[in-house]
Amino acid sequence: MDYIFNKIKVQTPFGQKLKQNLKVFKADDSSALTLLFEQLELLKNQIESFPVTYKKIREILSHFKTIELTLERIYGLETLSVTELFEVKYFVLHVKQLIEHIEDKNIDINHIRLRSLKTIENLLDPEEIGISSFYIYDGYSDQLRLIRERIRTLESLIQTEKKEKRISLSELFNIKIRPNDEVMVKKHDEGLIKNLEDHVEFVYVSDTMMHRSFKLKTSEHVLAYQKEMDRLRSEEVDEEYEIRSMLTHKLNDHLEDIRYDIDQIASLDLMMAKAYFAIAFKMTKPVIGQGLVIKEGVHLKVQEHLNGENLEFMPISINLSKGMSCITGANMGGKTICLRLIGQMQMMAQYGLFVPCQYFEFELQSFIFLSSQDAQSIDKGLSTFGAEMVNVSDVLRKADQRGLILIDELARGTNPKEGYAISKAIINYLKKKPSISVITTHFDGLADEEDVLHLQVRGLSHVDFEDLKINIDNNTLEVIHELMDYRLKVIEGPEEVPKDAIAISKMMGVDEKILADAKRILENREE
Amino acid sequence: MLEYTNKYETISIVGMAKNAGKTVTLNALLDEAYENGKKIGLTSIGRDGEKQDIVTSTDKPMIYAYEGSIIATPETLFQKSEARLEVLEMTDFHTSMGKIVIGRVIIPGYIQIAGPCSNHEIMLTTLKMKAYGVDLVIVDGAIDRKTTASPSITEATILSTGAVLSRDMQKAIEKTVYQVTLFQLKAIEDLSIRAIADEAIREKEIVIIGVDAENEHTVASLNLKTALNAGQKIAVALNEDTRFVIIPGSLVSKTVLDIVKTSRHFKHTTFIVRDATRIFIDYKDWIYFEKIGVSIRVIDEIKLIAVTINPASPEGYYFEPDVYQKQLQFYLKELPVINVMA
Repeated sequence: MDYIFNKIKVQTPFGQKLKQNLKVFKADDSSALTLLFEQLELLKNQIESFPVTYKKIREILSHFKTIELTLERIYGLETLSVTELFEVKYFVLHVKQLIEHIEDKNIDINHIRLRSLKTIENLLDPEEIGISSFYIYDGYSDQLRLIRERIRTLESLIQTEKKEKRISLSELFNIKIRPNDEVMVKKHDEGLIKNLEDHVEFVYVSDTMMHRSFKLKTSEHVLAYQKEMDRLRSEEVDEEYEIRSMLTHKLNDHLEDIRYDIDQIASLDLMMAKAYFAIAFKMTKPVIGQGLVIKEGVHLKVQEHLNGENLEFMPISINLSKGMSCITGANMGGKTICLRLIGQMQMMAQYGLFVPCQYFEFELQSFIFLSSQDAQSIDKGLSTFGAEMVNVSDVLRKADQRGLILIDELARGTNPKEGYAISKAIINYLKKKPSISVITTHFDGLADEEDVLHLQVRGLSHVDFEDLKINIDNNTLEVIHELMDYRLKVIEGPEEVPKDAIAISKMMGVDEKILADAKRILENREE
Repeated sequence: MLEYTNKYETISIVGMAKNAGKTVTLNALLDEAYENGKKIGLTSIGRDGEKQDIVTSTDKPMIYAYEGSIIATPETLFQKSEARLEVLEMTDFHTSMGKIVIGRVIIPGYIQIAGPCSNHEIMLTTLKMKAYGVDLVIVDGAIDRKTTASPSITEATILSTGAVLSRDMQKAIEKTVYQVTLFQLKAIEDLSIRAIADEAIREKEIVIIGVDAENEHTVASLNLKTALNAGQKIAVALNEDTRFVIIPGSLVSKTVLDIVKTSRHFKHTTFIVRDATRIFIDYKDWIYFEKIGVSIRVIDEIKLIAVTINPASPEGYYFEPDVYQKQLQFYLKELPVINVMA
């Protein structure tokens, strides 16, 4: 399912969080699930009818960034920094964009309603400038404005005075005083050195071998200005802090609105992501009904892989009811994939997603079991068979609750006689249970019961192996894939399982001589 | 100094060492820009955020930002600045001091800057700053992070050097001339070679280009992950038809040494790297390689527009400014050498 979830592309960090916490619908949630499906279908149709409008929504959504830490700090009434206030403003302005777009296009998406955060917007834009940048504006406090005006004036005065002094003294002595008020003079220019040393405005700084450095004294009233500047800058920092605190407190009053909107955006984002996913893979709305019916279904991951090699996935149809079903068929006939497809389809539906087939009818199950070869169990010391039995024993106990049980090649990991017996027993047990059970097998006779549905992969039965000219090289898999009919047919009455193993082995490149011997042994046994 | 930057929209200032006068150069440029009414965008590379040079304990000059300039710096430094800045944008570029913030100076004052860590992010930051309407973007290279000069980040570069390089003025000059020589390495002009080199570097493959009997180029890729420690393997792959070897990452002394020791064929082979910032060959080895005929070229040339000098060293000694400036200028010919302390 990770593969599936990766394909559901959410745009916002809020949607991402919601997606990660996505839960399955349980058996008693069917009305909620039905409603969800209807909403999703509506949305899907809307998106298909108005692609540009919804693309714009997606684009706006993609700009949202996480502000979780900032919100927590607001909650704790910890004074926000300028950058944090900017982030809140940024969030608010994008909510505004979203609201405006939705209203403008008259869209109603699943009753998603965003609360206007205009008050916050005004709070963070007191002078109503209307731009997205943020600053502790003069408009917040007259005090602040005055301080800043004074700072600017002083700064200007200081710079001008210093510059004038530099220029006049530079001209006077025909030297170049640098912007930092320092000047270097050659020592052999003794006259100049004496003048500067005697001049009250210059102080000695340092010597090098051939040069002497002097610096202009800062005049008394420039010093006074600078002192006032320092004081003012300090006052300004304090005043800004007060304003930031005030803003933090006011934002605290609106926390609930912000969180509400975040939730709404998360829902919107996730719904849209699901809808786009459904559109991309041409998926349909599942129907809550009876049994498990799939018409022309595909396994998405396998399909993607095949498409990558320029091959197609042959869609499968299947109709199951509660009790036991058996799938038999040629090797490489896709039995395992068939099982996985059933499991995946059921899971997707129970997660509230659309499914990749033309029609899907299902019941909400309380559990889904899919047996798989577990490498970890083998590491733990359990054999393939042992591990399988551990899992199977578990699920057999649950079979009274309505669930979906999918077992691939039951009891293959042990001797055929006992394997057959154990399988038959399990089948007899499960066929009476309310769960829907499906097993795949190679054993003859397992599927022969009347109350067991026998399905068979059509396989290579239509292929004439003698006539076939086979390229035993890299194309073998491709050839098999192209010849294989993966569709299932219902078998009435007893029938042997298909025996294509030797043919397949030949295609896989096993030595002809060995296979000839195998054929001979097979014929002897049958006599 | 500002006049040298007229043709460019982005420049970097690279220091050859700490206390080479880079920040003084920067402040001088900012002063000049302000007086000429030019709006500046400013950022830095890496984590040059210490207020005091920890190594030499000198006061690290902070930068005075004028009204209207656009600054890109991490959150914590943004908060601490004396200048008052309006927040224009929060980028997603993370540094150890927070995300990079782009702001506009409303009330001038001192600031500290640090920048994104990766070249790519710095380049994107410069683009963002340009979008806010600056006349020139200046990227302050941190100490010895010569990659700032990479042409992939800025259009032109100013190199800062000074007495701090050596107590011996001759040596200090030699090292500077060497660095300038590297930065001024010429690009390969042949379009087909450039195309092959471009792809080789992108795919991170070492590629050998030779000529065959009809004077057509032959291209062979060596299956090596990196050029480091691959000197011998490369040497073995050279033959009398080899003309070029493309090195996708860095070219270090050891690689070249191994090649010249193992094969004669380097004499008619040119080594190509992306730009001069990928070359890590020290001065003495460079002299030797030049002598024996090693040829190195680049794909992207660095546009060096000026060299600034600081005649004083924090250790207390100094060079005679006039002598230092004149000598260095002599070696650097057309390239302006400016004493930022004068």
